[in-house]
Amino acid sequence: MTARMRSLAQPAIALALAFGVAAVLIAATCGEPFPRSMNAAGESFAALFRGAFGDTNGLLRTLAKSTPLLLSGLAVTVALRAGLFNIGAEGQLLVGGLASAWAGYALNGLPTVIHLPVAIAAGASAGALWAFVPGILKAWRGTHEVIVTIMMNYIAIHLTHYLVNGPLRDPTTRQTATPLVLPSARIWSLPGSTNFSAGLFLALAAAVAVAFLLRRTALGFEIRAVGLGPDAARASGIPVGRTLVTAMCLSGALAGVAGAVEVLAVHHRFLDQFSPGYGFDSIAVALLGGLDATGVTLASLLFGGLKSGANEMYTQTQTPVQIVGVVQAMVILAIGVRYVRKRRAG
Amino acid sequence: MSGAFGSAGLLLAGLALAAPLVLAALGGIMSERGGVVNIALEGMMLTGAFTGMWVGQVYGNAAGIGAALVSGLMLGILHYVLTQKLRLNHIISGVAINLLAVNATTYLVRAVFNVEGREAKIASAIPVGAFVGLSALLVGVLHFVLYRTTFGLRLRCSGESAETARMAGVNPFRYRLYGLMLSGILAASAGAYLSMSQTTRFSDNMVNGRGFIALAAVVCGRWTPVGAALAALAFGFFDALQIQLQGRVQMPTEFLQMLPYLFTILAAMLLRSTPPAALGREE
Amino acid sequence: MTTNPQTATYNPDPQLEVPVIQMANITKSFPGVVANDDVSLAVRPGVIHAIVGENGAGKSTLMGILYGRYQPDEGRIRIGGNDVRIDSPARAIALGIGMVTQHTTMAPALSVLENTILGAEPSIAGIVDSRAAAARVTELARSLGIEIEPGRAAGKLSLAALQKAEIVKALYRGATILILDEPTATLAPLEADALFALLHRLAESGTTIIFITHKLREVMAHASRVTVLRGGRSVGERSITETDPDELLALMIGRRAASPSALTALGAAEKREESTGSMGQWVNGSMAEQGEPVPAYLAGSRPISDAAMPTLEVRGVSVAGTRGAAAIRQISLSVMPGEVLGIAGVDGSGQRELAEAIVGLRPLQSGSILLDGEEIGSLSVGRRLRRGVTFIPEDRQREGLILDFAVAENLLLGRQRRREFGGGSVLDLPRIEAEGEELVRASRVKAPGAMAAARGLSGGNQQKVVNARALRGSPRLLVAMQPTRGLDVDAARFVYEQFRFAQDAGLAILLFSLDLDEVFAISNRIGAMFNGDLMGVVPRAQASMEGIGQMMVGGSPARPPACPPTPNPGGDRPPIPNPGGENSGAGI
Repeated sequence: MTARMRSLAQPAIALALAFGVAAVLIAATCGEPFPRSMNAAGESFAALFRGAFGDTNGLLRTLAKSTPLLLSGLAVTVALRAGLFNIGAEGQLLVGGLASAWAGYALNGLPTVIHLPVAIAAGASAGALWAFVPGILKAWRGTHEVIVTIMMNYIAIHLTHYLVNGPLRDPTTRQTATPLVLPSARIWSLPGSTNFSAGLFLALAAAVAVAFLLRRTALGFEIRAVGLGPDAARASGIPVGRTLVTAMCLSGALAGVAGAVEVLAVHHRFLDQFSPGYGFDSIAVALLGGLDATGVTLASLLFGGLKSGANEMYTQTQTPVQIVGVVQAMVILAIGVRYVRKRRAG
Repeated sequence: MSGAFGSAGLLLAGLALAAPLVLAALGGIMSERGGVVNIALEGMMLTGAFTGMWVGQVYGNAAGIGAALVSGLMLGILHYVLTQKLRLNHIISGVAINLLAVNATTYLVRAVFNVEGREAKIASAIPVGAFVGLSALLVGVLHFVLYRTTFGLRLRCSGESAETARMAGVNPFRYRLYGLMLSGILAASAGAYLSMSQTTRFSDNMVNGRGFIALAAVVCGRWTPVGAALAALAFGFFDALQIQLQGRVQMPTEFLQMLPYLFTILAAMLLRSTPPAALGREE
Repeated sequence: MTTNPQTATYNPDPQLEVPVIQMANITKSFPGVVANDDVSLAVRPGVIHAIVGENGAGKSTLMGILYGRYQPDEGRIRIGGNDVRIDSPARAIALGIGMVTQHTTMAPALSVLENTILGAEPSIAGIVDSRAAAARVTELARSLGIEIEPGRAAGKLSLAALQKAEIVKALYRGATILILDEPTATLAPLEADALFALLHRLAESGTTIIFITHKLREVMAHASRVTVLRGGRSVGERSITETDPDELLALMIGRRAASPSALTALGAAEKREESTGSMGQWVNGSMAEQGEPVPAYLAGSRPISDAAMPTLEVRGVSVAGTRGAAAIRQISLSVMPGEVLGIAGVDGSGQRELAEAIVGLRPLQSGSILLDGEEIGSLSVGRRLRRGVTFIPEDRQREGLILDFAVAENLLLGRQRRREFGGGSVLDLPRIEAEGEELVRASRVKAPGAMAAARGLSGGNQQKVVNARALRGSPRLLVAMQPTRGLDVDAARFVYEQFRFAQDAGLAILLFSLDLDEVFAISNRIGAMFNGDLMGVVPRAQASMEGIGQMMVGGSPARPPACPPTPNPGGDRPPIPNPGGENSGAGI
């Protein structure tokens, strides 16, 4: 088997394993006796895939769900390439979304060419700021980024909840939400319920940019060096602390843009708790994609499909959507083993 | 601010909130002193909470507790196999176990309970005092186990240097396995407390970050049972104070709710300490 | 589960000349290398048996197999005449085998007592009887004439004290066979003498001792039998009375000894020593006095430029150690352009701290560092590198290389923002690869190509990559720690030639080496560190191995070399321990 085939075969095996476990779980809880219970699992998955890839609308929904996953998956990738576990993409995504919503409705009278970039930049900056905290604590005090990013998630949830309930709340709606962003700050989206938007192209551009950064630039070289050999990087004069903070801020900015796209293209306002855990899914996306921009793009399409198909599956077979989360967890386990093995073998 | 009743109430409330943190933190110590990073505490607690309620509802509280402990044990063994046998990165393994636990329990609550029209609830609560007493007792017991027994010495050595253990004829993997089994049991008991004692029902993602706070208590307590218990108590009282202050001070509830997390970051930042030397290392 | 430390399955009887250890036809391969190829070894009870060979000859692998760390692919092992399968160190311990490795395996955070009893704890119902344990360990140590502090964390012990504690640890487990891997590699000469005195006493009381070394003088002075390994094969076993260093050297390095051009650094060093015959003579006599010829390319005798300005000047530098205490105190030295200043010293004497302070990895507590007269003491590593300060770190796999990076990327490390590679934004990948290929060729790195991962290279070739990076782009000052560690003799010689070439171009080299022979071979001036102090610096022509050896254990350089060695007040114990005497306690 060639290396290329192997690199494709292993994610495939991981996916098969993950769906197998999910099938057993569905079969065990559907209340049917054995042979028929496996049918139930089969029907659920069939509905899932029909919903995700069965028709044009399903496909567009899948692409729409993939967009924030791709951006936040790239976020986790950049940090992990520097050796940092950014478990905080969810929090960065929330504050990024809120910042872009604010920029989108509070700044008046700007043309789209200025307003939209400003709103996206506001999201990126807020996400970067949120990630700066764990980054600087890691560089300065050696505080473990996992603990800090997790805590920052909870702080982000409470902070955005407070702001969107209080100072930034739209008094004219019964939802816990900010006012609608102005048309000049909206990302173009397809009319209808698919939520497909030009945000996808922004995410794809980000994937290209991340690939270029990591492979072709001095900063990317430094990020990879710090991630793979921090002691050697330090001994050869690479400013390790600064690189860690930079990578973390880039990561947070990407997650912030993910939030911004959701707000500016899909909801057109910041809805309290709008994220169904994109930030956590992004870890699975990054690992399944092998910490490589191309792989992450493919993985985000797959997970986007799972997410968009899950609703269809629930309507048709009443299988709870969380089964998709079980699949994701199993994928991380199966892929993680592969990923570490590969690194070890060099 | 408040009278004697208020402060006694605060004390009791603090103990009740700290008990699961203490239990889970002790679980974290048994794992990490053996050299295995355990951010899966959160998922182990959630699994324990669900399993305890589920089995307890049908077969009674004693069976529920037993089943919860077994579920934690299984997750401990899973984390062991993934990190030690399959050499998976400890954090990736922990993230995956947490994701699995939150999705599987939420799935099961819907698939099992909603379908049959049952409520995810047990008939009666186990007294809070039992858990508080148990956690206090376990702090002493595990301190003794860690520092005075052959098991404790071998576990600690496995966490400091697997090579040292091997060269002395001690199999570090065996002690890591025991440590993780204990870790799972302790974390699951903390979870069972949440669904069977503090409340009598399971709700989605009810652990809500307590596993991570417990892990922070382990770090702040410098990987010692007494230190971690004190840190967990501090978090517990902080939480109780926060709840008491709600509505009494001119500060939004959300800010008060943020305080424990801010406090955790601050503590992790200020209390810099040396972890076990082989913690999280892949060999 | 407690094993009784007093129990050993085999009691050697010196009367019977039956080998206590027989290893027959042992073969062991690791991916890409056959470490042991049909090796056989027989060791008689109660003797000191040496195993010699060059780096990579398979000595450590063979002993690792005997201790159960590796499983042989083929071959049989008999202990005390019985066929055994040693599948783990636990099994080896049960068979009465103890091992003291080159680097301590004691966990630094645990106490000496905990490390010693680990796995064989005296206990009641799983509860450690720490009082009994302490009593037993202290008693055992006293019977050996060793003072140990059971309650002290192992990480706070000197390397010499740790090694003794390791021996106590092995004997506590009832070892009747003791394996020592390069036991003197990290010891000063006097400490090595004390160690061998202890080993002789143990052998007299019936313990079988195997020690691995590549130093022939230790073999001639202390072993009664010797097995020579070369290239993974056993090439001879001799009684010391029936052999001589010439024969052993010939066995060790094989045909190459015949060719004068292959008179390698190691060979030359060993040749010098062999005529001194014994350790005692070696300690008392100085190489310089005996007028040993030193190959011209090695001698640090080339004229140094008369430049008024030293390339490096270190003035009163103090640096904090890892635990906060001062690791090096008030160190001053200077290195002229084109000069090699060699710093000898036992491992852990502060060399690492000094080197890291000079290249910028450790902040100074006080003092200043001048490069070509300009203060650089507060600059970052990167800025110092830009001014021409390069570094060969001690640990090539951790600090020297990024193993998952390609060789060309490793060669680029630290220069990735230079104008010639893209100026800090977009990397000029074709150029990086092309220059990598060129350096790989010029530095004789054996690699499939510059884009191959460094992980796949052998240790020696990895070291060559580190060295090539440090010498790249005409640096001003090279701080080199153990630049030839793990290199075979030809490769080491090539490194010295590279250094010489760079010296001719004006490079100043500050060399830190644990290998005294290396320091003498290439330095213009020689200094020694002890316990965080620079004990002095002497020109090569006036330096004697004995004098530098004295400085390495805290002696003053002012003492005339002819003066007989005296037990130094601040150093470790004298060769013959005084059982009732006070504990010197001064860690080196």
